[in-house]
Amino acid sequence: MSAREEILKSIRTRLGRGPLQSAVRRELERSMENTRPDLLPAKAQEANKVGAFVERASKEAVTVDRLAVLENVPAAVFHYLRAHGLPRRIVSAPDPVLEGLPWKETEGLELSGGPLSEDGQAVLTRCFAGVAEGGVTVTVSSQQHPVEFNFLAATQIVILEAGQLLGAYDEIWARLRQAGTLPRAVNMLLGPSRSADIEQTLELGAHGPLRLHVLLIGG
Amino acid sequence: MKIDSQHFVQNARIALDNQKLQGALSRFADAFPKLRQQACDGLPEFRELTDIARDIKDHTLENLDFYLEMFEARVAAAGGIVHWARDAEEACSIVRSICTDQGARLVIKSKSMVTEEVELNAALEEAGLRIVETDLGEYIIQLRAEPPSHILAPAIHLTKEDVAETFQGHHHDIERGRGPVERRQLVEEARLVLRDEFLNADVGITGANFLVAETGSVVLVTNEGNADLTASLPRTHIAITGIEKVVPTLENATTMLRLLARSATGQEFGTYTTFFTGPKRPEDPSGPDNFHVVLVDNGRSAMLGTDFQDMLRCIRCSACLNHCPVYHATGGHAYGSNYSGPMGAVLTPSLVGIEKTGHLPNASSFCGRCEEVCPVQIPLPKLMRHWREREFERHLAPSTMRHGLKAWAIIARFPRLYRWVLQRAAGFLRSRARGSSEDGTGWISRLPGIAAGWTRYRDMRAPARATFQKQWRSGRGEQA
Repeated sequence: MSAREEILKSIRTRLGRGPLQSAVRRELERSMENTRPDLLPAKAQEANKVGAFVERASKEAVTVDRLAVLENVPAAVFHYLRAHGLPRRIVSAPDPVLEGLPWKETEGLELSGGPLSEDGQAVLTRCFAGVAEGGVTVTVSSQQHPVEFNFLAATQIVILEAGQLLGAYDEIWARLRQAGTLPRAVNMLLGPSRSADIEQTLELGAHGPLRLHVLLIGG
Repeated sequence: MKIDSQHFVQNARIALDNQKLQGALSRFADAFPKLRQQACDGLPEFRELTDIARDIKDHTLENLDFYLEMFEARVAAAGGIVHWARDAEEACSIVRSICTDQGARLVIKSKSMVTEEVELNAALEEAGLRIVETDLGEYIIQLRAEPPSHILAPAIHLTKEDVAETFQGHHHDIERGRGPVERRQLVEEARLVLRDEFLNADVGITGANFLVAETGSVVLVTNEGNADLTASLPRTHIAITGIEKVVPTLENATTMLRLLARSATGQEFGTYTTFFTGPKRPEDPSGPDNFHVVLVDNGRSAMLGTDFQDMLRCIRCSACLNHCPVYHATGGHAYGSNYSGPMGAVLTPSLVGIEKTGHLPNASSFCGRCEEVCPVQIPLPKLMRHWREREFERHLAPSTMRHGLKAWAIIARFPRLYRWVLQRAAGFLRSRARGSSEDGTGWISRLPGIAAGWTRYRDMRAPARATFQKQWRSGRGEQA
């Protein structure tokens, strides 16, 4: 008997039954077709999503800059890098929307497309959604968003449009199901990388970014 | 699984005398419960969510074959492969084959208790592979060749000076300034060294916090981001985990996530929570070409339908360790198992048998805090009591305990004899009391024989002047 068969048999024997009857299986399958959130906490249903997102993200060392329109991004990136004493270089994800921004109007800012191997770089990406419930930024891996853009840079700047804000984490799934199969990676980000493994004292920048900066457009 | 639980009593004594360890543990014992309480207070629905989480896990376990088969089918539909491992040896051999088929030389890992359980690192090293742990705590103890002392914070027993010494012994190319050890520098040093490993590894091995049957997804939560790098940069990603980690839907996994970080570290949510489904898609510029999931039984299916089925609800948050007075006193190594604290005291005997692990379910004061803080409501004290009963039935308990319990059982059958013995014993104890407590009976600081075990570490309160029954008969009981 294969390992698979033996484990499944052991499970059934211990549960005191054979394989599930087809009616029971159908019932279980049907209950999964109409999935609903188990329980939505009150904090996932607040009317002021922008306020809730900013407050909760800030608590976890995420910085948020509010911009009126997308075209203001290059200038905001430049100001952020300067304010933190960082090189005025930004690596942009291979995203046509980012490439279409008015970079040339911001003097002194160098734009590149990677690669991301050396440490200390700053990257810019868009995202899939923001979740007000926890101040979480959600990205999905795609042609425009290689997954390492979330983890290899020292500074991560993410563009979030106010219209992308969701109340609860559960709403991510409702949206992604509409789009079909899940992407390889759905990343939920809450702040820069950190570790408290040495003397239970928090240090930022364990392997991933030291800084996570959100440019919140509109709202 | 390497087990040294038969020496718990001796190991606990050594731990209690270790000043450095006691310092680390006291810092930890204060901090974690406070953080968890604050996080739970911030979510008024927390208690209700634990009811739901318990029910999700119970439902899944009752239909575990169905959900595992669905998970397997959905992983395959997304382009991945599921492997089944009956025991530790089979799990290691599956992973070893995947690695050698890939011609791998360097394997990076993010923290996984199941890989500790099946001793995967040793098996892969035997096959000539180089294994690098990437969770900072796990990396430190790997360099020191020590087992983890906590399921979440594996290097909790060490000071920054210990870490600095360890790094100096291994990172020969790093230039260091003189002066006091800074945690910040140690974290940067590990970042620098591990980055090369991330970029050059052939295979990345992770555990799984949850598996989602609906989509075939593997859910991973970290604060460092190391699991994401491990799962994303090498061309092969292997997730290895226990069969009990599956939940039916994405929403069910979300309920679990609302409880996990709050219970574990008092955070609202993990810094990085990722749902991985299949290998990279054709249009993805990066990500692994191969995605494997190894489902490990290793004694878990045998827990179904027994008194210990509830233990399979465990999500490894470590809240029970963080709130356990015994863990606070001894730390994790004394348990002699990768799984320590109350969850380990129930799980370790379930996986390897009670013969060598009988001390673990006895290492509890039954204060009940573990059950109170468990996000999936596992009745840990009850399960430890079941193990104590089995140990007693099988004549595995120490003879002093067996004879003592037998003597008590005989005396308890004769009420007058029982009262007489009790009064004599209470009188003896009062005669040894010094000072005065609120009711004037005082405290005892030294007792002879086996009772010395109590007074070595704390005073014992002397018994009241009159027994409860005496007080009741004289009518005072009604006022009390």
